[in-house]
Amino acid sequence: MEKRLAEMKEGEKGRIVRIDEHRGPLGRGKGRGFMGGRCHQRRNLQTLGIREGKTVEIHSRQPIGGPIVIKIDNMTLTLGRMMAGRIIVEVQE
Amino acid sequence: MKVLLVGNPNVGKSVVFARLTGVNVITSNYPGTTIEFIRGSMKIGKGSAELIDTPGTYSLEPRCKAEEVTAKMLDEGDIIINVVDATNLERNLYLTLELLERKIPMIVALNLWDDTKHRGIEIDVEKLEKRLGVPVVPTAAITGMGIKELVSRIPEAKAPGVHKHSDEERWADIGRTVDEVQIVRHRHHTLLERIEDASVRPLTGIPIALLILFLTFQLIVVAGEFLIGNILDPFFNGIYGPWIVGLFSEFPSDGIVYQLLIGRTTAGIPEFTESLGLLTTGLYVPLAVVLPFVLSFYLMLGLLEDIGYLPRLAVLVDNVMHRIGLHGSAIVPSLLGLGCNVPGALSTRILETKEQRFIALTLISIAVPCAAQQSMIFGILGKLGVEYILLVYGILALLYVTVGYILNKLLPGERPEILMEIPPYRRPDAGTLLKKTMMRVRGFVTGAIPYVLFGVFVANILYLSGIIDVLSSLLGPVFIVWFGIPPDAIAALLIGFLRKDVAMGMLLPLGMTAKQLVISTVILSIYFPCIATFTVMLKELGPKRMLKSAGIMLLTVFIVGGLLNIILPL
Repeated sequence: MEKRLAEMKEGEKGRIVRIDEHRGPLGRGKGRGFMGGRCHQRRNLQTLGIREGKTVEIHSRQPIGGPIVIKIDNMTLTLGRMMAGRIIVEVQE
Repeated sequence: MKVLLVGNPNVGKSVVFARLTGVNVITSNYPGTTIEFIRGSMKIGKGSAELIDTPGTYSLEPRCKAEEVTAKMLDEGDIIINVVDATNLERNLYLTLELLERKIPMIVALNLWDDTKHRGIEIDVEKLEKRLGVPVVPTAAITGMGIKELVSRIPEAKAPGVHKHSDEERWADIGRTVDEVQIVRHRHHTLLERIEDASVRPLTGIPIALLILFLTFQLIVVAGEFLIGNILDPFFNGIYGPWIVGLFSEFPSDGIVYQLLIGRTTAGIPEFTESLGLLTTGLYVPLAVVLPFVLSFYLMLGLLEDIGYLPRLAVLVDNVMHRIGLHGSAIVPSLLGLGCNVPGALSTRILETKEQRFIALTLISIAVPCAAQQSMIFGILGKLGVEYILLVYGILALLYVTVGYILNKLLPGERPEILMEIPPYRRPDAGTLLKKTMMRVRGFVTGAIPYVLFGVFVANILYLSGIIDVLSSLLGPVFIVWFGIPPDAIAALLIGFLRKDVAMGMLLPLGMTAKQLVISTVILSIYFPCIATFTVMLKELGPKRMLKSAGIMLLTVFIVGGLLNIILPL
């Protein structure tokens, strides 16, 4: 079953099938941040090791909208909920 | 010749640097701490070369100012030493491939090699060398293993002439390489990993965080007070005080020279905290009141950094930080700011957007008292009771969150979320920790003492010239009616621009009530940063936004000072 990473429960495991690009204004102009935080988001995730085909496990979820902590390969990583909402995972039963 | 050290964050790059150069450098476990690069010189064969430590980055397409530095510096390098985390080969190789495409001669240090064994990882170094086309040397910088071989093979560094690839091509290439050179065996969880787990899970992590912060705070205070009570106070009161008073016994004690250098004395010993003499207060405050706390603070913070605790704290506070427009990583600049606002302000560069940096800088300036000011808060308010210290900290913490919340609502733009690696806990290296602490303490001593002396001097001028009297009578009504404090406190606020610790000392002789002291202390923290921090903020924000930030500070001080005067019963 496919789920968004943001919806997965603690301890759930699966394979990343897709990472949606952050849609919206391009990373330019006022308040768009350095090198445009938005349009590079998928790439930022990839360079940290969060990529299609990787097996991901939910380590823990912080309360009140806090970040999600995941395990990929040997690494422990943390990412915000919005970002995690754009990562689609094929969850292992 | 210029040799660049390039690699991901948390791969032990700074330790490799320290090994190669033997120069004191800041090393730590937190992504993005090495914000300004460090230079040193190293020996290669008979010649010597300049070694440059670049800020850790995952890719040559940077996502924050700190990472941008690395991409820019590549153009100046003659040779690259690419430091790779052997326990995270796949992710690290991405940067390696990007570097190979730059066609600069390169050598790879396969660092943290000692960690691969108990993680069940086996890497075929020869095969990896063949695939990459550049020399690969396994190293364990913490023990010094492989460093000699690394240096001896630098002349073999090669630029294999890799043409530019797309992202997908690079990842496919990495996949094939890793399959070919690496074997990972399953293994059981160690006790350390269980502790790593527990300190991130909210249910166990928050109590652990509170415990760690409480213990850290306790240790800082106990160690600082021990140094003051057993070494510094006996020295200043028993030896230095009588000596310096004796030295100036020829001068009339109401003369200008005596007043400027020594100030008021009681029973042959100078009134060190409040006499405002250059040779008394000017030396006593930075060396005997502030330095002990600065030393113990940086020692403890360095320990937390090197163990790798701070990223976990960042995860736990992220949800609160997100509501004030920042994210978890922003806790680090604020923590650094508790030592000195200057490094705190500099490290806001790890934040992605202008607005985030504006919020973080303004909050540090308003609500994060530096160690210098805190030691005086302890010294002065501590005599009245612990509850007053807690009250001041409580007010500042509330301000941090409230002002942050309002700024987040007012400022436009996107707020990037947290995205970072949580490195494993690592055994801190005592030598590296001591070196780092000494470097930071030296920075404090050389940076602070001239300002303290200048501040004390200016304070004297202000009093002697009568400028204080004029200002007090002008602004008196605001101070008496709105803040409820004596107009003389204006002198302390003026000096607060130079040094907050000296300014705190100037509050003492005014004979204020506990309530007035609390209000003045809070006002002193909020109204403006000290000149050193101001300089950094101006550089980071530019004049226009600095003006905005200063406006927010003045507005906050006016509102908060008045409110406290109305609310506080005391």
